[in-house]
Amino acid sequence: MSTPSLPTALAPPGPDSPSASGGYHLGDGLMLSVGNQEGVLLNLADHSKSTLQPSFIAPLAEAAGGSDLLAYQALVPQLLDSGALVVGPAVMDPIIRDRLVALDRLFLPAYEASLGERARAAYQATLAAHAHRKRVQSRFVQCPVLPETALRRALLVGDAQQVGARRVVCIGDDDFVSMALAALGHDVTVYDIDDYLLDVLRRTAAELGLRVQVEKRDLLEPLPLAAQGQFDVFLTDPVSNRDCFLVFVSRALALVRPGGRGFVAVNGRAARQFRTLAAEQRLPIVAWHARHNRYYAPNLRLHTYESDLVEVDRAPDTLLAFAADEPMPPLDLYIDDIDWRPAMCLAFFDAIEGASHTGSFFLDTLVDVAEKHAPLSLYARHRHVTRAWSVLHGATRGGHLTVHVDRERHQIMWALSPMEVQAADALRQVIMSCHKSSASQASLSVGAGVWDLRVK
Amino acid sequence: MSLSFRQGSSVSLWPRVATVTHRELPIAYVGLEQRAELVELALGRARAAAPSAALRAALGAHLEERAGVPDDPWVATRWRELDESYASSLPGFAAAASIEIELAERLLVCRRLFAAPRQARVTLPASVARRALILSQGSPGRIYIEDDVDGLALLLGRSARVTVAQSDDTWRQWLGCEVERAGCAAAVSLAGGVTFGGAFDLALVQASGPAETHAALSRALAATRSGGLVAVAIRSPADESFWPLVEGSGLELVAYHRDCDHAVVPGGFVIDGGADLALFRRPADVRLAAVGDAPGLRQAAEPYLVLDFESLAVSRLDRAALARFADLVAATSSRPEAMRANERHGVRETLCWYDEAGFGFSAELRRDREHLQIALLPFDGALEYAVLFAVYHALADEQTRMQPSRTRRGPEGRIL
Repeated sequence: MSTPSLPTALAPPGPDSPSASGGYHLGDGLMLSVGNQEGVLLNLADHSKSTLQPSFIAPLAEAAGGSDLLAYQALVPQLLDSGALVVGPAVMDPIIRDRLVALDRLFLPAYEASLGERARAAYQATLAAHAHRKRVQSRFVQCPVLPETALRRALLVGDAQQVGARRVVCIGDDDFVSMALAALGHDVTVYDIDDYLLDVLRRTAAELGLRVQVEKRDLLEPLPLAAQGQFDVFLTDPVSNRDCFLVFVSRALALVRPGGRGFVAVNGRAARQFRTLAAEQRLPIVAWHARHNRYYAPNLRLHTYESDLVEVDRAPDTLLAFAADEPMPPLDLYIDDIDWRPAMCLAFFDAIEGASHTGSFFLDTLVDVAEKHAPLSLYARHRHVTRAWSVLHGATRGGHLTVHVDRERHQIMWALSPMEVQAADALRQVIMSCHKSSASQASLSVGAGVWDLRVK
Repeated sequence: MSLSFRQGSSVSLWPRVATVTHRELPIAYVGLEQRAELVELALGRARAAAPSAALRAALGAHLEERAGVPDDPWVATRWRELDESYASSLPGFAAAASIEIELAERLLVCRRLFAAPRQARVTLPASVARRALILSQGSPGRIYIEDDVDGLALLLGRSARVTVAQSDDTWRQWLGCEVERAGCAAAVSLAGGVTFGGAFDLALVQASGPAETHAALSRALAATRSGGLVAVAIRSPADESFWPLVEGSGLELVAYHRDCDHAVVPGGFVIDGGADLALFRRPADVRLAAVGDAPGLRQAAEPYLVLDFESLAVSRLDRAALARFADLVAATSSRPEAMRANERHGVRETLCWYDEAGFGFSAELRRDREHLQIALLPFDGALEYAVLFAVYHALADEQTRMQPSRTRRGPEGRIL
């Protein structure tokens, strides 16, 4: 949907009043992504994306879990009118559910035949919770796994009928693994900082008749004495940075008894860091499941992020980075350490005209213009020119620029690292003005640290 | 006792050279003139004569006096660990495929020879087992496979008659040896010139560039009977041109398995990012568009690819690291080096490398971050494999990981 341009008039209370209908909730197929000060509403039905005016973020965030919106009555008519709000209590979103099922179908056929009745029920339980979720908090780097991944995590703990009922604690659970664990017969507790997630869990568990204990908890606060050492198993999916590992894992270890088992999601690129930390804390790694965890983005496509799942045991001599009753120093746990690198810009121009005039002089002119109009400076220019192709490469203060011209295929492409908008725009303009009088197609995609511009 | 390869040495065949690698030894380079002899030695074939003096000189410490061709315990352990790590994500799979995994493991543990012909890559045993289970569903009686570098045919040959067309003579020899060892010559045959005619129930081919994929699909269609299955292994970035090619062809998708395999680099490394496997029902009438006729197909070929490596081996990131890496690429690439430029500024170092045909890459190394980013510009599948090999053997250790290179497009459009 397009950005709501909402009227400001206050509509009179009518038959849509929340007291009569059980409140309001976000319309089917809408997913709200909330950051520190910004909000984006994604419409999964038509693939549109709306950046929200600040005043709409709070009411929509509240409506994601179903609400009377008493504090936002002035905005309700406008939000209803735009289709963002629907009258009635929050229910499972069929569009989100269908999308998740479609994503899961990419992977489920590989092992579906091995799933028994209870495992299938556990899948349905976690799928139901995911399909109730209408809001993602990017502030907490929330990035849920697919329901099928949540099921596979739960199956590593096992079915209570076979391994015995375990006392399991989920340290953060925006993945809703707790639902699958409860369906498999375990005694499950969830600690999470996000009220909304805890509410989704409560509602879904109640609907399905499952028992999941939920508790709002900030891990930077000391753990209550009564909870320490009370669990057999923990699961956690921290952001893959050192501080986050230390906080989540030390808190989790304090909650499980000696000999207890833990499951920690670790991005593959932080694997060495995690192994080092585990060695420092005398935390035995008993299994490493490579590329176990698959995630989805708020637009209900597969996320580019993936992670491994590491099984650890709390040994008698395992050390805790932070004592259970120790308040932690203020830490920013949500720095994405593995994504420190600046984005790269790749560009591709096909069917260029006047390809024969793209030799050394052209490459130098191209870079001259970019240097003149953008904060870009090459230490040196390395060129190689043949009859069929040319390349120019140079290191810059922050990275490098490489331009490649293929005169036989009539193509120009470049790699600019890091992405610098002015420089990329200057390069694009020179190519367009000299070698591309028309284009049938142009696209810019941004993802996984790469800006990809293609003009055909 | 005879001269044989040292435990842990692996032979990789490249268009202009062969490399022999071992985790504790410098890389040995063997020229084309000794390739036949090297292959014989790597295949463990009994030879009347000892290796020639030239080959002995080239291989140096990679050779040792040993009896027979025993399994390599270090390599075996490494492959097993990796296989368990990557296969353990599938509930019930290890138990369901235990026999297939065991068979595939035996092949990988004993193998010395590696290469990546036409995008076919050697994969972990569980990956081979998984494909075998998928392809044997429906009990096909006759199966046609192109470029089997895994020994998949041996697994399928337990319940079907399998014909394998290897694009490379070395791979014909290798598979021939394995078939002989397994004693399954009645079930697995190596095609010389395959006479098609729709005799097969199932054909397995690889997707690569648009033209190559078109040719492979055409062969697969010629091989299979109406109602038979055509299976295609699709690796990134071949997915971008593959799906437009089959769209509107009449081929009916019957199964799609994402991330079906995990390819390896000799020496105990896994390339993070697997191929998908798509299975199509072949109707009587298939209208596969010619590459030149399919609108946008040439443009759909990926112009470039970014490879991203984290946790490089600190001990190997000395000042000569990128030069060593470039030397290895120059030796293993399909064409000779035409251009190399290397600059170092503080902790950052850049490299630009191109071959005579204009295929190459730019690379940026951050020593302080143990990170390397490479942009293949323009993309070339053979160069990609050479670069992956060079990164792992010049700059990496067992804990180095690359950003998984996954397909972005599936049967219903963009999924990533």
